[in-house]
Amino acid sequence: MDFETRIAEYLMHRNPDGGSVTIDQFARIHGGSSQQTYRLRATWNKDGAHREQRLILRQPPEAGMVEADNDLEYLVYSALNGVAIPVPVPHYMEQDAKWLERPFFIMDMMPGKPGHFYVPGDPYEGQGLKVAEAFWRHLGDLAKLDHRLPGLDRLRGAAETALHWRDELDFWEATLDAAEAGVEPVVRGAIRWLRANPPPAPAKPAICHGDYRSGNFLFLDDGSISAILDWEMCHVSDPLEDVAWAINSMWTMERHLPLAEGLAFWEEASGLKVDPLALDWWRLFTAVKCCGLWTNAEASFEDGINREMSIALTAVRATHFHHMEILDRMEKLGAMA
Amino acid sequence: MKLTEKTVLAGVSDALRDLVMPNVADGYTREAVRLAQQLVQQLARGIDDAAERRVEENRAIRVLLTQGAENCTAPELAARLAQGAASADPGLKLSVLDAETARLRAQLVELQEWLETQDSVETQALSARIWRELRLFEQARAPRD
Repeated sequence: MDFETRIAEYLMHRNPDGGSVTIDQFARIHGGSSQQTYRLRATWNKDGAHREQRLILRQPPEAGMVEADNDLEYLVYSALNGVAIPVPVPHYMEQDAKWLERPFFIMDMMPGKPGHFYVPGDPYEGQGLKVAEAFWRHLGDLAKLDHRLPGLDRLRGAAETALHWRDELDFWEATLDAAEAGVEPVVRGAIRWLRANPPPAPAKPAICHGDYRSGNFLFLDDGSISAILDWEMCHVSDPLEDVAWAINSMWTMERHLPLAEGLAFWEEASGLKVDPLALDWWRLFTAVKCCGLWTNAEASFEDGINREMSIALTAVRATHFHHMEILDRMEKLGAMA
Repeated sequence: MKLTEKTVLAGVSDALRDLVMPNVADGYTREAVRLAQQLVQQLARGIDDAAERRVEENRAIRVLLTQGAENCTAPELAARLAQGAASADPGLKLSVLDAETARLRAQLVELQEWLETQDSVETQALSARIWRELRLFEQARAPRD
């Protein structure tokens, strides 16, 4: 039985009163390297009327950059749905492998386009200023939310009150320990410095997206953002962690809006102030986290359990980029001797 | 005239870009071909001096370990550093050189950790030198665009 038919059977199983479901316009799409993503249209007849719905199906690969609990992203979409942050409406989380061999979830396909940072030219088709303002305001809204939203008590860091920096550093150091073929002195030197020079305490704990950047949201023609996507690395931490990630030089929104103006939108929306010292700490941490991600990706490709071309290319190119960024940041911080 | 690995890989890269990619209708597969083409191109540009770069990095790390052994006042660590400094690459296969780099880098990290507990002018200077060398290693490893 082909993949589309199996999805149709699953949807009929979940909606026994909905009649026969047909799937078409089915295609695999690029939806982040940590999940296999498919778009499809489901059509059916109910009460004599023709119905259709465009959906996204996400399924974890056997291994990739991010090894998250396979229902974490679905939990986040469910918790944030209707709570100030634009996210797709989630429909079904399925853990039973009998349907599609691995767990998966289904959500609405949202309108809009991803503006990838690596494409030449303007990824936002002339709306960069408006997109950047919306980008910062939504991140501020996220920082303002109570991190104890129902359903999110399983997030990493949810039980922590102040030492989020230590938890996150431990997590990514352990990721490197597990995936590195050989120890990398640049990254290990940065980790030692981060551990010896903790950041100031956060203004408050916040829900952190974990990968909040250009390419992980959809924008509309009017410059608004219709959906923020790819929440597999969501956790609770200092809200400046997401700010630092958003301005990493690989994908920064500074191409579209000066940093000071972007941070002003974030401060207005969040009600918080950016502590420059803490932000510097999180910016170095971001480069270390990137190296953890790329090292994990490299290991999954080397081991033959992932054959995504984007994973291999990331390992080749992005690792070097972030090693250089660590060196530059360490020098700027006076941390090299 | 001998056909080199570099030329073969460059030819494969060109074929993926000019022959294969334009004829792939499915968007996901076309993107995979585009990325594969970039990967092969990177390999083509880096293959000629791949062994030389590794040999040079290993040599430079051994120089740092020699200086570490001379400065280190912890006898056991100093002995390990001296042993690393006196070692030689056991072969020229890339996998062998990479394994040796990994072994030497682990010793370099040990040396850095010890230097960070010291505050003499000499140890601080060696620590700074290691960071300068790490930047040079990284620049040498840069993808070839």
